[in-house]
Amino acid sequence: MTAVAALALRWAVPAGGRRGLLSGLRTLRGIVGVAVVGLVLLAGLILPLFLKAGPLQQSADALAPAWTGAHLFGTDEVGRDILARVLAGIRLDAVLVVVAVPISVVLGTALGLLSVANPLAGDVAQWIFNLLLGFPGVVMGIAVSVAIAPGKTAIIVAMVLATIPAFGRQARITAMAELSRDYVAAATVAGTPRREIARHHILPNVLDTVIARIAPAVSHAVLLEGALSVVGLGIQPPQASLGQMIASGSQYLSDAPMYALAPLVAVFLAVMGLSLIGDALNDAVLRR
Amino acid sequence: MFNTDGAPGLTRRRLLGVSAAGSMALFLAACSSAASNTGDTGSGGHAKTTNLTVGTTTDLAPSTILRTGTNPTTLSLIFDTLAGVDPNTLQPTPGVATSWRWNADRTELTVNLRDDVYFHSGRKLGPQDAIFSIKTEQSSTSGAQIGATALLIDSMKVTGANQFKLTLKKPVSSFLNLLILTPLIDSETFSDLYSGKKMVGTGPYVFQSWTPGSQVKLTRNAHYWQKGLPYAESVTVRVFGSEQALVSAARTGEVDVAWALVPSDAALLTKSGKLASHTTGEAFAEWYVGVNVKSKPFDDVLVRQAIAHALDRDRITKQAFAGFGTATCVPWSTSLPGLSGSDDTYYNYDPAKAKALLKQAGALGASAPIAIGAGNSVAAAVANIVEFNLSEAGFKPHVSQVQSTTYQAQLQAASINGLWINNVGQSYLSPGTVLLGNAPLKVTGNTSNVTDPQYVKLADNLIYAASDADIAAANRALTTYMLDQAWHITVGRAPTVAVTPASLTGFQTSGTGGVVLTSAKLA
Amino acid sequence: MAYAGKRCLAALAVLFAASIVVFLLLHLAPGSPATVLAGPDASPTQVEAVAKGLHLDQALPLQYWHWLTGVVSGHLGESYILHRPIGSLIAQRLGSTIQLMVGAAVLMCLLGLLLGIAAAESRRRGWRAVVDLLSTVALSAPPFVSSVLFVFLFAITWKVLPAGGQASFLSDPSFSIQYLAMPSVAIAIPGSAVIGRLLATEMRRTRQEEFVRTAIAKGASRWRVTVGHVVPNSIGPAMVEAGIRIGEMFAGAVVVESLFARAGIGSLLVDAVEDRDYLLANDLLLLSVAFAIVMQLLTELGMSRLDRRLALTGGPA
Repeated sequence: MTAVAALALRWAVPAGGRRGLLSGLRTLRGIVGVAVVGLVLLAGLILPLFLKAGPLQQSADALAPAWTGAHLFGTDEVGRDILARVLAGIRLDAVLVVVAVPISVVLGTALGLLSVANPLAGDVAQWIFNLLLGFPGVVMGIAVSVAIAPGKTAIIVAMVLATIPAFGRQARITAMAELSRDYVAAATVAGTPRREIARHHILPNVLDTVIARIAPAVSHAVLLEGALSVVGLGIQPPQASLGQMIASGSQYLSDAPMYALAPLVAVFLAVMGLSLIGDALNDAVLRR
Repeated sequence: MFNTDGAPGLTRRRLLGVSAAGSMALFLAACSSAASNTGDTGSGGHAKTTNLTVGTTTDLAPSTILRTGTNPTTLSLIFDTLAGVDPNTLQPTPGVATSWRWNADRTELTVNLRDDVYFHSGRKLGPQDAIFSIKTEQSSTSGAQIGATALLIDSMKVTGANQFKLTLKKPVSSFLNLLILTPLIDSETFSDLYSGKKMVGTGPYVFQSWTPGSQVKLTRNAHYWQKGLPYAESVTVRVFGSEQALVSAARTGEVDVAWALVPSDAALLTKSGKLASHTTGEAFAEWYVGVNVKSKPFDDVLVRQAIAHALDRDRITKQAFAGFGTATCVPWSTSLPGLSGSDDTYYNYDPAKAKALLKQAGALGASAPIAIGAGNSVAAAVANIVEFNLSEAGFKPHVSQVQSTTYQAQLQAASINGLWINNVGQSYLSPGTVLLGNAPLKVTGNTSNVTDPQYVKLADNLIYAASDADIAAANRALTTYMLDQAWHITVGRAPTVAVTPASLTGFQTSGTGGVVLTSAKLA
Repeated sequence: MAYAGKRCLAALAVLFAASIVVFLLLHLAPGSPATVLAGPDASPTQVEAVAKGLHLDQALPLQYWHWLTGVVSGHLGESYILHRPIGSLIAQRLGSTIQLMVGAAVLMCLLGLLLGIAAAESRRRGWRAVVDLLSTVALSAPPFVSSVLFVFLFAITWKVLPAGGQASFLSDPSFSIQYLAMPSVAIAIPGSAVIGRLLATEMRRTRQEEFVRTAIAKGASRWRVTVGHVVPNSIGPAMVEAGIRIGEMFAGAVVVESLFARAGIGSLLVDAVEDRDYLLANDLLLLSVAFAIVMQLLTELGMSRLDRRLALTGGPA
């Protein structure tokens, strides 16, 4: 590795790098997004400490009205506190996402990079992505839930399968774009080993764009859980999940609207926050 | 008038926007509103009883038409059974079969039929049709629970223009239930029965059409053997996609019979007094906690009795069944010979005693997995209370909802780990029928994996009891055994609940818990 | 042309792979149509007897072959559970889903167009912020969220629309539209926001192009410039997204049909899967995947044509 090559590499590092990505969060969108998501998560983690009733604790007081009495949002059809269940649902969705999305990021990015490294692998990977994309989310979720019993595992598998293509494609597109950049050609000509080029330039840039796609993937995953629960193949009661509460609550809209509306607002806020974050990061990546 | 380059004022775009909004509003206002049907208007204002509408959330399932308990909204409209049933004595009453007679040792049953019964196709019903119907029940594709009883028949013979004889190897105490539970089907159109293309019976209404997922249309049988009946000219059975939609339809009078409502919904609907509730009375479903005696620690009878003592049956009846039902500890009706009302309260709600029993068995804190089928809100309500009760008693319960087909597969294979909650129909008629045909209580291969020879002996005594005295004694012995062994822990009896406008008269339910509209009309 | 041929072949290959996945997934699940038909009181031997009668004891690859050849030759066979020809089952309920998807697709494109133009054209920062907010809100409202909200507002609180059900468009157009209103809007909303954004971004870029500045210099009205020049040249990415979204609309339909109690093929699929009605479920799953793949293919081909045309006219690369 000559001095020229080293200089070429250093010169080619885009200004800002990883720092630039996070700076995207300092925009109005980013701040609002982080604040909203943070608020929802914090509520899920901390508020339960102030509540008397747990999410699984039933009572004789079924469908109690909201805003009065001991239960802020009222109770469901077996007397469980709705607020406690919404918070539990937030925690459950967070857990599902925290398990599913990293798996999906790793697998998707690996597949995407592999597809660039090896042309045959590239075709196979494209093929797998198209296959996974061909199954509209809920349809895939239904098939998976029936193959593996409906529940947490099935949802995680469905989430992973539904979000891999997004990461994989993004990784592949970024990697290919980077490979065609001048500095890479310069470095190759200068004799830099491929692995160094990959590690110092391709990988960081790929990671940046992939990370920018995490927020939309998370909201996609949350929505998938909700849609599956509506169809009855998601989280099974008595466990509380946001989607499942919306589905059950929609039966009692005229008698106890908060049953469905409370989790609905939680889902809406979470997804909105995540899409704001996603937009902010995406803008940051584009501006680079 | 139209400005260019975005200066404020009436731009073309704004004008277009306003006119679009305006025309939309006009359009919507001009259309009649589908939503006006969802106001609270009470009964639906029919002038004459030309059409009755039955609302249900389960579609017609012709492939299981012979399985008792399925198709409750259409079976008794299209088909007659050989006999009816007296709701008090639970004995068969004359219908298409006018009389029947046992021989001396109860191994030969001679049945006489009416002479004036015709299939909807015009063909006269004869004894060979009765025999065909019974034979069809014997095959496993029919899924008929009474099939197990039918398989005990040694021979079937036509013995007269309107008479046939069934011969048994030995007496079967519940055999007359065959008359109550066998629908009379037409051999000529049988090949189209399971697909729902042709459903030909002898009942008060003639099957016209079925739009899957939507509705079944029936018209009056002008040649019905009950002269002058039915009153209604036609019946439409409408399938609703959700319980909530059915409840709204009941509220607005869109349906004359809202069938199989979740009990709490029925209770809400009938509060105002404009709607009346009906139950299938003695044709109840028996809700129970089933125990797989192969899973530890449920192989210990003390643990099972602890469960039996832990259950708050009264709260379950009040909350899960919304008061429509009875708390009981016995799987079948206690008005059967040999049993008494005190059997209903054999186990009282005593969490302390339950805990003591559990301690005695050395199983305090034992994990208690409870499985229920998904999508059944009554089962979920029962399970929630049972879970609560069991944790009071010192168990560590955990409810899981299993997808319905998976649940069925597990029930069939008797592979459910620990406990499950489900319900059994037809047990009201006689223990014999369920002992022969129903998986949870079958003598061999039951879902609880009970192979106790004592059970086999007591069950066989009951199934093959000959005299009335024998039947009473066998009922008693078996019931005491079931109560003490507690591997099938009855929680309560819940009939099906239907809601009709208060102006509907003559609404009845059949011996199998189905809709009967033979004498129904709107006042 | 070679490109088109290659993409078609690739799509077929994916469809083939999808058919295998679809077939295997359902067979992996415990239970079979025999379970449902034999009834809850059947013994395992009885269930086996029923299964044998349905030829479910054949080797899996053989069953797969029978099914695939059936689909390709148009002989879809009979539903195990409903004992009815699958073709007529699907045909009966397809209408309801098509109504829904067409309504949603049209609404999505119109709304997307409106949102995009409004975002790109708003001069004042206030308006732009409002449109931005609207589009962010729309993005965060998936069908199951907006459906429930709509039902609460329009069916229960204000009682202007029916909470569920459907009506035939051909025999009862005004009724059927009222039943369609909430579900199709619910499906259309998130897609319309994305389409609007893509359109707006592209429109802003196009505005900078030579030919637009030329047109303005020549004195064309703002309206004519927008509608006549900017929009048509910016529609590319938005159309691609619209194509993909329409391909995925079936998923939205499944959820919405369940919430609004519509008897379409979405709910038919859910029932078939729950009852392990293998042939019917496989056919419907394959249909939904095929639809998505065909839409992807069409948008890919459309995109490539668009690219070439733009390259010729010197528009945005």
